[in-house]
Amino acid sequence: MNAPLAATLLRGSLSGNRWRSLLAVACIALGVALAGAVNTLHASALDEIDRAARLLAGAADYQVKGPRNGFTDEAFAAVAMHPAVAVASPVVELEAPVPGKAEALRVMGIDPFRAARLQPGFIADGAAARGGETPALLDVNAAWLTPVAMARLGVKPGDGFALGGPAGEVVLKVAGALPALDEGGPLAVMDIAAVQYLFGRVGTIHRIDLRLRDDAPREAALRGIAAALPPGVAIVKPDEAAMRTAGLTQAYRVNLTALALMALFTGGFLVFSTLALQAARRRQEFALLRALGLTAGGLRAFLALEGALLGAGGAAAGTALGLAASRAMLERFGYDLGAGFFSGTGNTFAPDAASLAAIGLLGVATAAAAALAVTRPLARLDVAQALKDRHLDLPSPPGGWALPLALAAGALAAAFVPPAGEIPVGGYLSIGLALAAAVMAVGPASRLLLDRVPASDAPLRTLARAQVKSLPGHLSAMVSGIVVSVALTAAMAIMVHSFRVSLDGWLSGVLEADLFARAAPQGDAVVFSPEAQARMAAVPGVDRIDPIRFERLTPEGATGLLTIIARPVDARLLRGFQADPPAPPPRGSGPPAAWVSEASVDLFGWRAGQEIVLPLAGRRAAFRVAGVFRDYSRTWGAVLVDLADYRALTGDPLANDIAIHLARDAEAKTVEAALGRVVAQVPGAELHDASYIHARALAIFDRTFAATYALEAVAILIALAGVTSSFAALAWSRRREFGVLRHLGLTRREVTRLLALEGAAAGIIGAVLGLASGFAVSVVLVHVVNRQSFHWGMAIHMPWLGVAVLLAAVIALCALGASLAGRAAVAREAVEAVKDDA
Amino acid sequence: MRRAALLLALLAVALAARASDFAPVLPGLKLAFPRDFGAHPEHRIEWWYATGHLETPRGPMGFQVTFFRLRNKAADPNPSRFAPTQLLFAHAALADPSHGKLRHDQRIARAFPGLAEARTGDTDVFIDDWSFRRDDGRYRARIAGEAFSLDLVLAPTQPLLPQGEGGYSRKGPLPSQASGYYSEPHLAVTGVVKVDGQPLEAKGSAWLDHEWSSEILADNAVGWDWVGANLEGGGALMAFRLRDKAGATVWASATLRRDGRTRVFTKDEVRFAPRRTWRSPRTGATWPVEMGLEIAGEPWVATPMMDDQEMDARSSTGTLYWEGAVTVAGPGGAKGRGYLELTGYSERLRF
Amino acid sequence: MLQARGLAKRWPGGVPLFEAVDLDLAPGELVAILGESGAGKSTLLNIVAGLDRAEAGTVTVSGTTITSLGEDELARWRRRRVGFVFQAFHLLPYLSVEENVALPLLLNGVAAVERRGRAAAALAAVGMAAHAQRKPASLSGGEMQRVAVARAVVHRPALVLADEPTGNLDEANAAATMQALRDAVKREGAAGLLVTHSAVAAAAADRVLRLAGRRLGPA
Repeated sequence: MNAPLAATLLRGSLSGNRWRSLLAVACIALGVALAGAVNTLHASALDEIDRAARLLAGAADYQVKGPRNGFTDEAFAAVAMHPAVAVASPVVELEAPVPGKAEALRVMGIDPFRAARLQPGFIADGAAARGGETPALLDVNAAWLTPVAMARLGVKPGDGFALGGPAGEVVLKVAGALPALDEGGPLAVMDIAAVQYLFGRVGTIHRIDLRLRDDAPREAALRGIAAALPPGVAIVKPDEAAMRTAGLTQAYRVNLTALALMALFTGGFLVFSTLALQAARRRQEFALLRALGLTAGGLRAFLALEGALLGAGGAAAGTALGLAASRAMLERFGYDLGAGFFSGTGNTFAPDAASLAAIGLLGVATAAAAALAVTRPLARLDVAQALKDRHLDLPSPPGGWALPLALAAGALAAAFVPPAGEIPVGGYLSIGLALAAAVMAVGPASRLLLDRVPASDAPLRTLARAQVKSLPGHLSAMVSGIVVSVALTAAMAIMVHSFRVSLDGWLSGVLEADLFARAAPQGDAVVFSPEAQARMAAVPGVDRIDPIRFERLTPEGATGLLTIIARPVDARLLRGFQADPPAPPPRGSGPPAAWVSEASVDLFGWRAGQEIVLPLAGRRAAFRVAGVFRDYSRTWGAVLVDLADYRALTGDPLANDIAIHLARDAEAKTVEAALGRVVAQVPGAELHDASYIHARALAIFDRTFAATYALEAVAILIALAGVTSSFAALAWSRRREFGVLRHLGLTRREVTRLLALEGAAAGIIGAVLGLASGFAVSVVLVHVVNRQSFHWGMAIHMPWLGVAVLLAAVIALCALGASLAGRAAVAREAVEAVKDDA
Repeated sequence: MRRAALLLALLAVALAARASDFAPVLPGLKLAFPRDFGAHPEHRIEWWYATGHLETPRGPMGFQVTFFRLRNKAADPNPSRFAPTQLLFAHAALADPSHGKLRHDQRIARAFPGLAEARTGDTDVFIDDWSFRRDDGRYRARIAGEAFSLDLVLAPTQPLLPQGEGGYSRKGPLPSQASGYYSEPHLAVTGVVKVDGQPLEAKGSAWLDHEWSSEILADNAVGWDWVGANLEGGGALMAFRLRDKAGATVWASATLRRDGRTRVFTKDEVRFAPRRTWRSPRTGATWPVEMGLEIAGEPWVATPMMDDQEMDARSSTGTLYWEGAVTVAGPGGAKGRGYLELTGYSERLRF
Repeated sequence: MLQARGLAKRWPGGVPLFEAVDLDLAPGELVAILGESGAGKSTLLNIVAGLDRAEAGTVTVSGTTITSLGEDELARWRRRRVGFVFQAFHLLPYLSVEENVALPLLLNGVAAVERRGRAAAALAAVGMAAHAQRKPASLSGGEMQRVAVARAVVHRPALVLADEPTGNLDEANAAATMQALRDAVKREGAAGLLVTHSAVAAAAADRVLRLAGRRLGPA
């Protein structure tokens, strides 16, 4: 096939059905756009985190990091004095609530003299040179803000502002701007001693930024420094911050991308049916070309080229659309896609060209693959026959059960393939195979289903049944599209519903107290002191309070952060957490008991009865794993320990949250009001009843899955667009048949109804197969994908109403789309239709 | 006296506090050793300031090693280990004619146990790997700069030189405007200078000042001139004056050790008379780089080894001053080598 | 059986196609209308079938004046009373030969058993009984047209209309098709109207008319 010939043929195909080609392009574009937008949002967020981390780390080549609540600053001298260390800069870091706003400001306490040697941006530019206006560098209330932080707080240099601290509001003064750190996000920089003092962190630091001597042997230096660190504190490279974030969000990103690719996959079906129609319509043209000497391979090459061109158009449009969409979303919503993984300024827009190119190529490949699928039967084209007849359709799909059954077996087997890292490759393979099985089952299943439908004397039903049962290629492609999109939508709906029901039940168990006081809904600067805890316990009508303390640390011999939940543990609490076994073991002489979350089981390989070592308060603390509990809020692992054990080991009397149980005869409203006054003394702290927290958790859940819902809606839209356009094509190709039927005495309305019936039949077959495979996919999603990437254990719960509505909608819309298409097809005069030679 | 200006300009603003908050230096001060070798943490400011000349395989070099301590009472209520109750500042410079440019480096830190301290009891002041310590009667200065490093032993060759009235060195009309002040002239220096990654054996002589005060500058003073020199034959000369806005002397003093005898001259016996000025093409400031002196009627002159020894630290510490190596000539063919420091010629030093 | 009076039709531009056309067909009579391409033969046929409207005149079939019926009434009338044979056969590809023939019966609500019997009989009458279970795609053109003839009469219509039924066929197949059509019209007592430009095909008719110069007259 030469280029001029290809160009001529392309002109023919494009003039043939322009809007349908456009729809195919749009489909590919949508899939590419979705995948591209997700990828770009994520890349931008990571880039911002990475750049902020690099910016703040400056010339530091290593960082010493410890638990979330920090480690002793006595460790600083040991690190700083290590002979291999050129510069050591201690950092206290916290997130302080901004009074009156539902947000927190990141506060970094640094030693400016040391920090400036790594990052000159920490010293306000030329501050010292401005003489009399120079604010006090070491003034305890002085804070230097990045311009973005000033904008967010609405302050300027010289203004006062307040942040929530553990002992009340901390009043600070904007001493100056740190424009060089603006890309680090909203940030207040203060003297390290001032932060320790004002925010109740005396004796604690969170990080040491290090620069090693160039001439120091690295390995030995790192070993030496690590040896000087207390348990739970490690030396890492600064760029591991972004890498760690990437790891944490990888599962979420992969899931969203997989969903987007599913949309692309659905779009591929539309490309297939578009090109298939073109091919069928131009069968005689192709036959003529073959008769004139074009080879079968040349013909296939042309069609593949045509598909690739459609795909390229879609990929280009989709990439542009995805970039625009992600940019708009960044400006409006920030990075987190509702999942709360990222918080940032949202002013980093960093599309990853390589990933976008890969996604675009995937779009092209999908279209080309669809085109190749179309060309397969063309290779067997009987030229002489095709030249004579004007039969307009694709060959029917292969009819046996062998292939779908083999694919289904493969899907089942793939579900047991272990994950690669955090990526459930087996799960995704299984989903892909299950969908392929469902698509391959369309032919045999429609015959099987329609054989069960008794023959009828109603003419329209009989005709429709015969048409669907013989399943021409078009109808088959269309039903496949319905199967895939219904399967995906049903699977997501079942998965999300299962999760929501499980979460709902879990929340009911976990929120077992009447009221909850939370010290710092925003940030971590505020905690409940022992005095504040005592004041709450002393409120009349309060039966008892359960202080809850959180810590985040890296367990010994592991990587990754683990949350420690310390609170009074009894059988009731364990039942609420769905712990197994649901009762604490008898107190023995061994190490104290700990319950590990399902995620910890997956990530750290912990088992009941095992002894684990947690570096608490700079000491190695041994625990015996008493059981496993369910935790839907911390996907990176959690350990539940008794507060008394925690306090005995750490001497840390503080609490982040308080669960408050009221006395049985207490007047709830009165007690809540009295408690509210006590809690109000702690700035930023909030008091809520269990039902409020429950409702808010579910609201957050729904927001998290908003992106999923949006993708589902798009998948359905693509499928329905496909259905309507396939029916339109089908109706167009069958207009002579309709003409005959009208000659035979069918009214236009009856022809339309015939098509509606066919549409409904196709919808039913698609919906039934889609639901069946969707259920299988949802089982894989719940028990394989979610388990492996989010470590959530849950049971399948069917959203019957939603599924019923989905199926009814799909069937009704198929019927409607078909009848609309039919109406357009019979608008032409029957007389012309039977004569139409086109 | 000396380059307290540098530190004060950097930090005194930050540590806005009245002199009366600190322990004053009062008449009748009695130096006691080794106690007074060590730090005086309750006084507002203190420094150990060594300058000297070295002979190396690369030729002669000048060096300067300084440690400042500054008391910040505002941080006292803060129980944090990082509370900046004492601030330490170190500066080191190496003048190497073969290099053509002054190499210098500095460290600043808050006192932190084990990392940065100015200890009491004997000279022991350090910031990370920079230190100035007295051990076995000799000082050891270790400076690990970016462009050079020093590891020098400074051994006394004669008794130390108390300035003023037995170490009570008055700076202004009020008795509390004074410092505790002694010098160690003619320190014999041995050690290693490392430049361009190359260690050089060094030998020479140096001058050490150790001074502490809570009120160093009279209200109407805008700057000062200071000169200190080791004279050939074991003699030593130190002279300073504080100037007001008009250039008139607010206070002055000098100490001269000659033939083993030490004599202190008071304000009225010391007169500074600039002989030649040099205008900096960079900053436009005019410096009396060749300084004439009259001590009890005897003429002395300090001649710069080169005119351009201006230090422009306005962008980092906010100060502009002139400090450099000089040769000193005096009556009876007295000759020596020392340092001249000129401050407050562009604007008043801020306190 | 068929009476057409004063039929007139214009081209879309307004130029008259034919005027004052009268046509009478008796039961069991097969009439052929010859004419040049564009003379209006097919249009006349379509008007008679109720698929096109005349500007003037009436068509009455077995006492029903179809020119006054609405579109849906016409469709139902066609379903019961008209059989068609097209030049391009127009068998539905997804139905078997027998199902194609039974299609008019199906549309008229005839029960399945009776449909099969009557379709088989109709197929037998055109010599296609052996091919009942085959799909149309596997037949030759002549075979397909004979199946189409069977479909056209299987529901015993009053009127059998054929538009160039031999246009796509060779001589032998054309003759066989015409014979089948003629037999069917006679057997069922229907009025058969054939438009063609083939004199060979017209030769099988009882009467031959010519549509020329806007008028229908004897050949």
